[in-house]
Amino acid sequence: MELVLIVNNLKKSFGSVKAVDGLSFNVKPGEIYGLLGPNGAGKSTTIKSILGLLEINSGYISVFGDDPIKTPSKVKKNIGYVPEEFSLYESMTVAELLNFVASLRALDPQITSLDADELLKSLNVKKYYDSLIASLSHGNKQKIQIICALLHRPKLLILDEPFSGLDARSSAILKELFQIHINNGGSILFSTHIMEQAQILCTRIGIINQGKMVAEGKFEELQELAQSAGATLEEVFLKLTDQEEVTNGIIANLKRLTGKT
Amino acid sequence: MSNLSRSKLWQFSKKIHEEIHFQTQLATGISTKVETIEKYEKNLKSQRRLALLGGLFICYILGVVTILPVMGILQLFSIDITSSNFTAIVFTNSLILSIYNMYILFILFMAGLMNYVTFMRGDYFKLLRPLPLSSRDMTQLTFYVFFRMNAIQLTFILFALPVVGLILTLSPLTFFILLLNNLINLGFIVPVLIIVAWILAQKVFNKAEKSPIGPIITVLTMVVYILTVIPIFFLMSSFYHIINQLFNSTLITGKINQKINFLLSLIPFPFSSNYLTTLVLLLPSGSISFPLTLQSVFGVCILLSFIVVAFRKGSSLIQKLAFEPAIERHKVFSEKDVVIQVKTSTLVVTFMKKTLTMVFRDYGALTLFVLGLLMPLIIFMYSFAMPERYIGSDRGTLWFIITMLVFLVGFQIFILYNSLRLSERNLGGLLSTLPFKERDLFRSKQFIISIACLLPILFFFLLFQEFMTIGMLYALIKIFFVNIITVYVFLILHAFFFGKINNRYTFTIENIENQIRKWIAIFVGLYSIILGYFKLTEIISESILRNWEIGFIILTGMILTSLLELITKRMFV
Repeated sequence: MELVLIVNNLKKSFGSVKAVDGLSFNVKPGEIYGLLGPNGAGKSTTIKSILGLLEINSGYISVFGDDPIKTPSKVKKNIGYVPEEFSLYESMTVAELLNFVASLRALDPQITSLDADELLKSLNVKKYYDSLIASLSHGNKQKIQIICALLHRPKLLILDEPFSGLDARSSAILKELFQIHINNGGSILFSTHIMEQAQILCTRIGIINQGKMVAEGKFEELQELAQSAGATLEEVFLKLTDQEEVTNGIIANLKRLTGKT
Repeated sequence: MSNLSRSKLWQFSKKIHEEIHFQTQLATGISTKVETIEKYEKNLKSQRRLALLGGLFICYILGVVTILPVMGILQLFSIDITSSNFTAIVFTNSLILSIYNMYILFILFMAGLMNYVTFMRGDYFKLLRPLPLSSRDMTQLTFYVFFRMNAIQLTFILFALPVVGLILTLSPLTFFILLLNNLINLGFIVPVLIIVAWILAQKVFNKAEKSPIGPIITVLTMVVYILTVIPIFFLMSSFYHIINQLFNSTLITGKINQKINFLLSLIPFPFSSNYLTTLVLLLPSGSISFPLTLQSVFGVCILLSFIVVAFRKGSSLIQKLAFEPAIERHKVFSEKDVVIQVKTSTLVVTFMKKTLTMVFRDYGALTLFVLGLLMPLIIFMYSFAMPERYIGSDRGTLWFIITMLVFLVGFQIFILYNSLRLSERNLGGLLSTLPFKERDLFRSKQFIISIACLLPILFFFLLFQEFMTIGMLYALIKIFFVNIITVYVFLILHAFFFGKINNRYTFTIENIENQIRKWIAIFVGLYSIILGYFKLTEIISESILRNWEIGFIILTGMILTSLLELITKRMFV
């Protein structure tokens, strides 16, 4: 079974700061792999490196057997990417943006029109088709990003905090879209802060901290590793990233503070 | 809710003023968002100095314009006033002062348009609105910010002419009269500025941003803006020339119909107060016209009532900024009639469409684009407005223009490229995640810039083809090739210095380290190629191939273009 994605001993520094420090993991076909980590853990840097958007210091990355450094265009053809920060052309209308993405990906206009229609309808943004992206709300912009990433029916979906800003209905639909994508033979790599989402959706989870893999495996395996049977992913996460004590201390302080007022 | 002290509010207003300057730079500056933020982080003091320098630059322009009324006052006090030349003197001096006031209105507005518009959009008060500030505090704060934006310019306008008048005439009366006149005129100009800026900000730019048809409004506004603001500095010298002639001819002939004075003195702005000022300044000479004075006083009274109305309106608009705007009636969206039809096109056309759409919907980028496009036309206008003594003849003018076109091409490309770059402030975002050939992106930029550079030359050729000599035609063909070659070289050098990543060259990611050195290298490279091409064609065609000059120009151009095309194909895969 050929692995969809291989990241091996990836290292990336910004000046003296080590953003990713020897990170290794892989994504198998039909798998939803969740990348969890506190802010600044190196999740986004890892994802950008996979897409060939950053110059890495050392290590090896392979997407469907292609190297994103040597053949970035080939890699990007197979990936649908939803970045954490909005990277839409906000002075375009939704229609213009979809035309732009479809042209760049050399998609069939007729098939893409049907796909776009379905996706826009499902995520309840069809009515904004001729509106400027700048005039859309935060959540609607996120939906447009997701549609752009799905338009070419990619084999691998990479999503950085995809649920951020989505309403309940859209979150449910996105989860459903994940399942449809997996059922169609696709794979997903996504990073999130929302532990419940990861717990429900992910086949495997990788917890990273300070650019290093702290723990990896199925949710039950992580529970075992943290020696916390019955614990939620949030509790496991805090324990494995050594944040449990600090967090408990802060919560205690806050209780005192709110108690005073 | 308690009120804050005025000094506290004054301190707050400094922060907001700095924010407006920062946001204006983000919206209109050549630097990208990241670069601007980095500059601010590195040296906040120098950025504050930059804002101050902006004000001083406007003062410099205003200072140049002030020479105009100073010339008038000098002549006023150096001429013997008699009953025969009284009407002419009143006319010329009032006219000069009126033109001066029109200039002030114009310069203040044009030089500060972006700042005014940014301010009048009211975005900077969003952060303050939820804070526990009383409505009195908010209103006062807004006024303080507006004052900070204009303090240097307004102080300069108010005192420059009266002080120079005092120095020249040693008469305190002259000082006070001119000061009073400036106060009245500024009292009218400032509220008018506020009202126009409000209309531009709220009715033009805000609406343009929310609507796909906005580009048309934005383009029109920008074209009018650039066409008006840039030539004014060039045409200034011609105006001085004309006014000087007018002054001398009216004084010599004395032929000014009294009816003109009576008519003009009734027009409140800009004439009435300037007529009154001239008449009062002429009092010591013993000359006076009671009917004209009465009419001017009447005109000034009307002006004062206008000022009251404009001031109230202006104040209410400024006050509005301090409070949340009324919620606009939102359009009800429905997906009923929406037909989804994705249309695709070739990559180069897609990139061109995207770039132009983004440029036309971003008024900062559009300003630069129109400026780049119109640069050669401004040179044409300037050349034809210049007195003949500078150039000599029609043919001299054409040669002057051709030389300027060659000199300009590098800067023109620089401006046009930065306009495209500015429109893609989210560079490295969506585009860098999509699969495409960098060469297609290169080609789209090349086409847009080359067409924008060549259009004015085509216009120039069509307009003046009757006057062309064969030499000029050859020069224009050279310029055509210079444009093509320079765009190639510029884009290649830019990608070479700024866009190297993972051993590839790209336009989607920029390495801005040592950028000044990089830009210098690009310009040296550009002008070496331009001058080298000109010199090479000149030497060879003059010494070896005199009869084959045109052929050689075209051949050299084509060889160079082919070489650059080869480099492009190797660099951008």
